[in-house]
Amino acid sequence: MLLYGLVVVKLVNREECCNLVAKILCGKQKGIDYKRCYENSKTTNGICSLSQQCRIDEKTKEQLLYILAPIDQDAFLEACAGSGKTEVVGMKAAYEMIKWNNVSRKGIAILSFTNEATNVIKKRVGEFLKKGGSVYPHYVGTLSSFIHGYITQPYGYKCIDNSSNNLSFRIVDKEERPYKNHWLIKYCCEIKYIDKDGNKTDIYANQIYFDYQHQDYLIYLGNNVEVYFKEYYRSKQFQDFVNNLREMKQNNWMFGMDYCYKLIKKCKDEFLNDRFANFEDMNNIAYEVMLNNSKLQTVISKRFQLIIIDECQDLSWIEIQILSKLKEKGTILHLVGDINQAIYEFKKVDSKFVKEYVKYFSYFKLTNNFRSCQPIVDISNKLINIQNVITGNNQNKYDANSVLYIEYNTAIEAIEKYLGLLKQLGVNSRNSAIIVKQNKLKNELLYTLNNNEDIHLLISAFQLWNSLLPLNKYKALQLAGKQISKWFGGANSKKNYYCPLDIESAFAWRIFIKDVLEECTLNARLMDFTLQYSDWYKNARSNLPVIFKQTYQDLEKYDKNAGNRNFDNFTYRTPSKIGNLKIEMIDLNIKIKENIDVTTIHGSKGCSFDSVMVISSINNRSDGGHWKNHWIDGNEPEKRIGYVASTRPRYLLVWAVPILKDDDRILLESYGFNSADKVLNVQANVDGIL
Amino acid sequence: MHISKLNITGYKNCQFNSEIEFNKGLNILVGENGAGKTTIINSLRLILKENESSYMNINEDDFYRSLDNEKVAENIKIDVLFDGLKPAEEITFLTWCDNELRAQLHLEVCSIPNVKGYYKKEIWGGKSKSSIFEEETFECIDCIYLPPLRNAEDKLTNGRSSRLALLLKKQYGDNREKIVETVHEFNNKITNNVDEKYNEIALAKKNINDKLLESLGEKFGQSINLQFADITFNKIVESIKMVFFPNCFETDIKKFRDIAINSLGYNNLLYIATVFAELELLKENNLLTILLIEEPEAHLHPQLQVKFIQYIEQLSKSIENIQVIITTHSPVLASSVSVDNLIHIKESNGQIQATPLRSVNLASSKNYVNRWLDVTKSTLVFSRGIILVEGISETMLIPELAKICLAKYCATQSDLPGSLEEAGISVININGINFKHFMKFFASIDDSNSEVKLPIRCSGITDNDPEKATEYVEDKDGKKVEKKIEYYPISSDNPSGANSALKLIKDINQSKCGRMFNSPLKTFEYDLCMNRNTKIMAQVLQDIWPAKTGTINKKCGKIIELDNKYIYDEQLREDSKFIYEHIDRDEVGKGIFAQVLADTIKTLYDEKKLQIANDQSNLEEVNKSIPDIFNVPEYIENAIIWACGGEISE
Repeated sequence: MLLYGLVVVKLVNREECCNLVAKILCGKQKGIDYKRCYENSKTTNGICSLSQQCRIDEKTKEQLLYILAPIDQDAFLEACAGSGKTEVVGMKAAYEMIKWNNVSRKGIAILSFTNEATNVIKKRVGEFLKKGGSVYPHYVGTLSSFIHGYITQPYGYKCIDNSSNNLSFRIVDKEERPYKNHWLIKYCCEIKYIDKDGNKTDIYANQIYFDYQHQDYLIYLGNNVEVYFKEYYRSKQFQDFVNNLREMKQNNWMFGMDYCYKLIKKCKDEFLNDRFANFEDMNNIAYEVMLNNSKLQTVISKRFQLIIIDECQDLSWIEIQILSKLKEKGTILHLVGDINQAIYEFKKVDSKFVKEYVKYFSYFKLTNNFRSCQPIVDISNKLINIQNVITGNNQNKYDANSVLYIEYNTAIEAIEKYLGLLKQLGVNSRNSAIIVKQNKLKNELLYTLNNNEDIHLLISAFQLWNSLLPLNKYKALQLAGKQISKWFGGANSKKNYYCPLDIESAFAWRIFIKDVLEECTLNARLMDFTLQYSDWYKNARSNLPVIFKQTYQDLEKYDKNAGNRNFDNFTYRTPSKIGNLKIEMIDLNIKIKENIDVTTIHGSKGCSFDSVMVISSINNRSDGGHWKNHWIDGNEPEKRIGYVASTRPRYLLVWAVPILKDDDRILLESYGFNSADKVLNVQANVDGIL
Repeated sequence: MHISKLNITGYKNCQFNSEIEFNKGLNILVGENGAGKTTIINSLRLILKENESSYMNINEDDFYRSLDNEKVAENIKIDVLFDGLKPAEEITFLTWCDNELRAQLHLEVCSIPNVKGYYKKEIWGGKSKSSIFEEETFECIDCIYLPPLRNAEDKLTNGRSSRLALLLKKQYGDNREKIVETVHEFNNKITNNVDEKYNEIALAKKNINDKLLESLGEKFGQSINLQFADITFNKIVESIKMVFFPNCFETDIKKFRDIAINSLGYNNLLYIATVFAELELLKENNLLTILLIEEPEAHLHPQLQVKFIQYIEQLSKSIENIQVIITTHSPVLASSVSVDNLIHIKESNGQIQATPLRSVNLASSKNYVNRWLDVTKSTLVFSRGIILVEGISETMLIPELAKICLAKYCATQSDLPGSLEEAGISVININGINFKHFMKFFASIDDSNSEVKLPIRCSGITDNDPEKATEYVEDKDGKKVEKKIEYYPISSDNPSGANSALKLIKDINQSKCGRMFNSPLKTFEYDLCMNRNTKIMAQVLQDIWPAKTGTINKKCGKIIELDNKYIYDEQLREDSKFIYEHIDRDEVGKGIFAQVLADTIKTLYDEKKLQIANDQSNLEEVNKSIPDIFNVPEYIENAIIWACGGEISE
């Protein structure tokens, strides 16, 4: 157990807490208590008229204590899954905003990690604030929009270029590859990546970033290749390469570590100086602004005197450093979250930092799980060995059948079984969800796409366009937009089907994409998917220019760069190494006929469903997606993935697992899972008797 | 904080990036029509969202368009830089700040409208379009605009456009229910016929209802009620109007009159006072007030103008966060404030050229200029060119001589306007030889040393004033003593001058716009004579001289007879000396002489012009004969041509 800071509980009485909160939040008059206040305002057009119950009365003492928590000291609110954390954060925000002196135009920032969470908080705040949506001078948004919008974008620029009044950074994800963004070639590093088999791969500036924590550059190439520069330099394959080179050139000093480091740095710096950045760079720049400009550090800290972070367990090391810089100058931090739900390792998140960081903060906790019934809470706690007493507060509808497992051969089979189960138990599939670990599986189930969709954008788009399903058409527009946008100079965001910066009407752009798709899908050669990839790309290079020339006419008048478009001269290369493979077709059959949510574990964070089926991967090679190797026997982060998924449902939790061996079945049942087959069989028997 | 810099590109008459620097406090934009003063004011209104609700949207005409319609600006770009942010302002305007914590605001409008024909405005703060921009920050800047030639009456009587209503709205703030309630209650009393005091309405209502019943019957009939039109707070304050009484401290309500019968000027002042009353309401909510006033001199007599501008100057000094920007064509206004407040505006090649007089280093001459820049002298900031002269004679004669020079110049070289008025050139009498102080506006001389100078051509005309000659005469004791006597040089003497202004010539002539010209011999009138104008000048002297018989008259007659023909310069000198000495006598006076000479030249010039045939067939011939009227000395001719923008040989 960690030793947290002293909890200062001045208010012992829950009633007292309710009255204090109501006085500020609802404008409760003196002399009456909060219950009377609710009765009075229920009838009028007040905040309470829409709710069945007094919003304050429904809060636990733990929740109220945090809402009343002092904002002149840092605080950590540890909130277990389903504890109504976001509701509490929203109420806390509204409570402080109403108390706030707005004249100073200093404010509070309430930051979360997803737009969904942001919207929930905004909605909660809006209900109490009644100010027509504007929360100024406060800020409610995601942490990254805060860091980008208030620190990196406005102050991160370095050059003293007085002629330009827009020195924004353009964000290039580290996942982007040059065959889709040919301009990236300019930022190719002189150091190549050599794998164990001696194959060389180019490294581009967007795939490199500096890790302040380790004081080293990190090279990220996707496909599980993520390595620190120094580690890579010492690797056998790179050392072999260097030694060979030195021998060949008869020069024992070539490609020393410092020199290679400089090459990496040079590549990154050129990228940054041209004001490109990946998400990691954006945080680094913000950190540098804070380090180097103490005046700005002070002013931003004064501007936001209190920062509340929701889901704080997802804070990365660098994000904590940036927040610390503001804290240094007086900003108070309130971190809210559940260490057990930290599942963002890919952001280099290690909840250890957060745990360590909040050590001396005042400690508040929420231990009531309002979402799930007790059996689900018990199993979830067992998964990650939670010692704290967490109370499941929801109705226990299915008792021993609240936690089941389904054995499957294919995911589709599992889903069919699950849907049958829902029907039998009378659970509405609309309030249920299927949760999977990988995006890939989600896409397979949802978009009926193969895993090449992101590589062969146009091939996927053309196939999808011919499908009659609106969802497929929409996806086709997105994929085609993404590809074609690159030939038009690229877009800042995926908004409006990647509408390029040079195109002034998003509407015209959409029509243009539609026209291109329609023309292309009429073209027999472009629709010939029986070919090898390289032949299809050859066809595309010769056929696309004609189609573009024809369809572009309507777009031309919205094009700032009109006149400079030369469609004969664009590059559309076959992605390497797969040229001689046959084109993979997309299976356009609809796989799930019921209306049910399919989401990833990461995407399900903060969500509640009546029932959830979590699909385990078939084998343990997947990244944290196997029920036994990861969720039960895995390391801390892997267990947390299972924990997050399993704490989503209210009444029914189902694990879909590959066909079990006997000892695995015993293990699973020892955790409290029952076989869904038994439930189904019982019903079958009942049906048989009738 | 205050606006320190404005950049405009592509807007109205700005083809290229034009940069205007502003002072904290009071700024007065001066310059001729079409220089871009209103463009500057409108740019600020646009970017500061002045009165957004009613403010004209961008339209096609707002984009720069060359006269031949060939070039149209692709974008309108307006950028404002704010300096001197206090700690509280740094926090408020954080999203407008660059990394040196100076606030910047940018506006860009593309000239291609969207499908519905709107021009999309893009506004961002600081150095990045992608940073967070807080719209609410605009609430901390109040931009108040007073248009030119106001129809003040409109704005003070009741109605929608009432400025008074705006003031009242601000005054009431959020506290509006009570007045609405009171008016509502009062209206109800009338319509409900309380205490049977308002029978007429009740009666009318009854009559209508009766008729409805009669004509439609009970089955189809309807009932009506009579009540006042909806009462909203806006309607109430918009129906309040202003009345006046022409003296202070009047309180008897009956004596006040409708402002329709007040003078235009006073109505304007009432209007401005209403706007200033708004300034009083600027609460802690407001961090910066920008007051934009166009041509406040409209309808005001000079003394009121002076009083007005002094009030504004004092206002801008006493209220910390107010910046006032005024455009004017009034030399009265311009001369009533320190030159530091003036910003000279000029259009040149598609660009607004703004010269803050504060940036023109006047060095030790500053106080002198501030004292001395009276109404007539301050015309220099409204002119296209300036001729500085020493005295009254030059002031009167040069405009007439200019017509002759310009006719000659046009006949032989390129085209220039025919007169100083047409060319927009002012002749400014500096009453002496203190060219030093004024020339610092145009040239780096003496202790003034700065890049920034007024971009207007300026000629100075000064006298050579050679030292007096020394003669030895015997006093009454027969002793030889030194005696100073007037020296009358001839051109072969090449006399060196003793005038202190001559020392400046070298430096002035190195400047871009300033030039100094001196009489080669002695003084203005003497040099005119010596340039073989003795005939016409003797004629004038003869006419003015009171005694119509006698030696003076006869001598003049003789000179006239000579018809400017002299064999020896010495003879010319004697006649010139005679004329010169008599001009300054009590019987004549330099001023009168110059006036009559100017009149005479004008008459001759006009006669010549009359000779021009209707079909202009002899135009060239007549123009060629114009220089015969008077032989203008070369130094004067150069001064005139330079000021008018022509070429001179240096």
